[in-house]
Amino acid sequence: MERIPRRGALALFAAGAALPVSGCARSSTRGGVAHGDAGSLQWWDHFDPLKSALTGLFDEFEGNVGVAVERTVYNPDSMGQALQLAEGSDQLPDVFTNFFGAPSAALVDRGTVAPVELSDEARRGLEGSLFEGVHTFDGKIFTVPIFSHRQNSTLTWANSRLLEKAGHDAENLPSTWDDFRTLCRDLVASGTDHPWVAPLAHSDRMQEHLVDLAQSAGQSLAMVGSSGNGITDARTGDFPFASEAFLEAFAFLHSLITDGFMLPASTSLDAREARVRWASGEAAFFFDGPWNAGVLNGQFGEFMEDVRVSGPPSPDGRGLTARPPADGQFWCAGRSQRREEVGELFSLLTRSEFAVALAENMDQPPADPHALDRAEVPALYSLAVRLLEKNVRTAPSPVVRNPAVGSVIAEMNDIRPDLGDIIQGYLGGDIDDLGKELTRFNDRLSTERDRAIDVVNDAGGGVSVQDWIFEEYRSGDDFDVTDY
Amino acid sequence: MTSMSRTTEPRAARGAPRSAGEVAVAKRRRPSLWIYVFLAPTVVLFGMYTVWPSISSLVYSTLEWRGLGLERSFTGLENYRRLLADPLFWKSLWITLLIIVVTVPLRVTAGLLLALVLNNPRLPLAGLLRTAFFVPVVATTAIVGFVMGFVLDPSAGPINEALSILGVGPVDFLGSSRTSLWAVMGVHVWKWLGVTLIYWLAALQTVPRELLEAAETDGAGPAARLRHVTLPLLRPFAVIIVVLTVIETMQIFDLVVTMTGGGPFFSTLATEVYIYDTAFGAARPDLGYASAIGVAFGVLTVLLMVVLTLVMRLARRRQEER
Amino acid sequence: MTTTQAQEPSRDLHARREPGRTRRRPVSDPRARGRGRRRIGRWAQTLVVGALGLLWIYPLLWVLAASFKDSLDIFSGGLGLLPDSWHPENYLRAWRDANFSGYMMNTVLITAGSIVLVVVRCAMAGYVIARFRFLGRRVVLAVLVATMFIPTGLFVVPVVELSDLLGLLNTRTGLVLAIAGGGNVAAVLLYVGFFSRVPKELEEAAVMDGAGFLRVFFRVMLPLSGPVTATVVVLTFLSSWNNFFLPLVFTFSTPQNRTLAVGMMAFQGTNSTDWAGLAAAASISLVPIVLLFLLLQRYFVEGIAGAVKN
Repeated sequence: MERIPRRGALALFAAGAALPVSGCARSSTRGGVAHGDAGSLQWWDHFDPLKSALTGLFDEFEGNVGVAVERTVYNPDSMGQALQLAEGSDQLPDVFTNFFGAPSAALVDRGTVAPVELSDEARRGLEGSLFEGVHTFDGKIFTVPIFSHRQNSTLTWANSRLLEKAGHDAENLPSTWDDFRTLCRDLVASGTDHPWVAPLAHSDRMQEHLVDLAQSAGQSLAMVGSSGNGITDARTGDFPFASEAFLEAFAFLHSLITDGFMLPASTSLDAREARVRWASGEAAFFFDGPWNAGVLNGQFGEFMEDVRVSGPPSPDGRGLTARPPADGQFWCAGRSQRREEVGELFSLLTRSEFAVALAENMDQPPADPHALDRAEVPALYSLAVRLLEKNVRTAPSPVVRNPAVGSVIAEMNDIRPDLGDIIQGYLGGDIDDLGKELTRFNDRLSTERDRAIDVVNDAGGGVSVQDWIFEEYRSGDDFDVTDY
Repeated sequence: MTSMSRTTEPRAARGAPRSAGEVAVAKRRRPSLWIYVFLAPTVVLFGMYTVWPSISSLVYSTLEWRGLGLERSFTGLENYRRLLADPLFWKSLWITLLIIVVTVPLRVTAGLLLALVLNNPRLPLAGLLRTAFFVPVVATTAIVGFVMGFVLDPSAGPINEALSILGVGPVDFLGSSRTSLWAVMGVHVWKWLGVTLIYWLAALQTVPRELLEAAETDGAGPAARLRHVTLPLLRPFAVIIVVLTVIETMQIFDLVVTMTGGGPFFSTLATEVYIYDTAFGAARPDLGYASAIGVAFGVLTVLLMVVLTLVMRLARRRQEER
Repeated sequence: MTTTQAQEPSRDLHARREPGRTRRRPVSDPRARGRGRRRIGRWAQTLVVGALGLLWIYPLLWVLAASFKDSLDIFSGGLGLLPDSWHPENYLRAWRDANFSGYMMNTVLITAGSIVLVVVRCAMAGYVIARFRFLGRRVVLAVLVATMFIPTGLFVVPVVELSDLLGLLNTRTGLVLAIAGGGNVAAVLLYVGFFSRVPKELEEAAVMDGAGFLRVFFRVMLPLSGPVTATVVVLTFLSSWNNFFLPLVFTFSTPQNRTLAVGMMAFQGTNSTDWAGLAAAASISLVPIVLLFLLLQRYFVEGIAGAVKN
């Protein structure tokens, strides 16, 4: 390693001076197909908070198998491009997180990902939690869920000191939209000029907020993923964005702005910046997922004791939301030459020790709900996760019913303005007639889906709009693997 | 310093060696092989890394291509048909044009004014001051986006605090679609003014001191010297500085991506941002369409440049006639 | 006109010979007073421009200050410069944990390689284009100028495909070639402009002395081009130091080859950003450039003076 720079430098000067460039100046082993250094297994993900959980896992794996894991963490903003460019140049690592923007079914179809062989113990542990079309394809296991699907991004996080200053009991956070607005008014009166901060510039996160709020207002959804083209009305199979519940959710967010409760800077903040603004005491409320506790604990430890959390505010005060079965996070590259080792690595992901380590990383909640009992985590994180366990339901997923739905969604072109654009446009005052805009968006999505269905069926897919309809499903229910 | 600026002046670039003597000398030395040897690195590398990608883009733009490593299928002019009907493409062109029309003159004139002051060797601390204006040029975009978030903040940012003293505001610079483009342009000018300043400083080195002194002896004041000596001598440089500045301005995209991501509601969606978004940022990457936008944008830019050059040449000729 | 300029010493050198200049004028009171007023005027100018400059650079001074703060302090401290408490460990985090020492080395190597390659190839091309008529000259020039305005945002895709084909992907050589190989039309044109104005006598004299083609170029012409080279160095430096996409793509399988700009990415995580670490990293990558500029700025001036003397 020490000598590499010198060799590199010589090569550069040789190249610069005369340009007889051959491939002689490789400063390290050629990557080629996903096998990096002779000894190591390449692993890319975008979960920087999982460092310690994964490091422990990798150490154990190296002890067992004798293969080191070289992990690269990407910023989620560049993960997608990195994967695309890597795939284009045949450089995918052995393991990666699916940030392609394409549903898993598409990756399976084109051979980007390969099935893995899990240990018997792991298979037994996963019974009942693997879904065809999500984790298994043609009965073969491709990935394992490590996170619970019982989560959302719209927990209410509050700064208790500001609440107390407004004469409010911080242990008792507002559960309805009206309470929330009333409390904001009190906060303004007590000197917190702008009680609520939101990541308005972060369109993915705002979509999640909106969907969570619409669900809490009674919208029943069938979902593939948690945002974008994969969200449909469970009962009709249509795109739901102009429904009453969505309009109410829009109206709630909008009222927070028109009443002046939103920190003005919100319009240009992403979630990371909004969190810090909230943690520094500029605003009292911030909607975020359970990982908020983990980030606070890591960066703003002293602030933790002033933080309170409750479920998303909702019209009825129950704050029920739903998410489809959790995706698997890690996938094995189709051209990996270490599939066997990856299988062993994935088996380790299913063990309860890993779930505990995962819980202790305080990111998304672990798939195994019991892990929390044995994990040493601040009460705030446990509380957030338990709230989610109680109030997040399992939404039906059309992909589970018919994996070809994934291909349809992959085939659909982006419609701009998309939901995120519309949220930004409406909350920012660029869209006046919201109903009209949303109806148009629904229509364009439907047309695009019809086209995509035709394309997929022409290729022998066998999909129909019926696959999106779950008439019997009611919001607030769990749609289990046996219900399909 | 004569060098830098004259150089790219079209005439110099186009012109053959002016003296027959040079060619004669060259001929005597049997140089023709050497000529091609000297040219080879540039031709080969340029062919590999500029011409080839340009041609590739042209080919890509006729493909339905959903991402690297995926199948590509030929669709003819379908992407271009879609392009013509895409309101976002036209909007992005308009935004790009607006950015160029606003920031280029601003940078060129502000750069000139600053250069005139900072060019004075007797000005105390001139070197340090030049550096101050130059540093933002080299600051990483990620960090620029981060700092400017604070500077432009509507609740606590210093600009808004200053405005509130004047009884104006608060202005939501980056968060409102009415102001975001202007804010981005402002930051762009802030970041890149230093380069234009350097160009002008270089150009100013070519103004012969004697001419200025002679003018001074003839009783011309600073303003008159500027107007009748310096500025006329700088005029040829203006063209090349404008061209360089326009080229740089077209690469505004990483700044926009960091600061606003093209939003709010497409208000800062410059064409390069749109290309990038379509190719890499979208949920469903679309390299074929992104290439089509790129090609169309490139063709339009080259056309615009040709027209501008013609206009400028015409203007110059008319001036010479007078 | 060129020659007049060429004989004109640079202003900064001239400044030091101030007394010589004043001798030409009769020393009379009103003029002396005028000079005094002018000096005050200059200080006033410095003050005004200095204030503007301070305003200009303040955001970056703030970044420098932020690199010593902790993350909460960065956000709650507004635009104040002084940290509540000092956290030099941010630098340790960036330098050691985030491997910025390695990234720095890579960036320096890659930038240096790109600069050498660009200077040599552009000077060579500019020289022959400027001073010789040959078959294809106009075509080369036309292609160069035409490609100046093509948006290059998508070039990364074909460049990656090509580099992969040639086995250059994942190598620093390949990266240098990709950075220095494309574009740089401005650099070529700068050299064309410069070399076309070098007086032919210089070349003829060298030829009389028996110098061959290579010798004329490397011993006479290239050294003359100091000021252009300085400019080209600065422009190339800027573009390759901050280049993000190409280094990203060329280091997928070889993280140890990453550059500062790519390494910066490590501070921005899924849910949180290590702002203090990022600020430290940004400061680390900024300081060398500022120093280089301060140095090259002098070189600009002296380069001209040197070119003139020969």
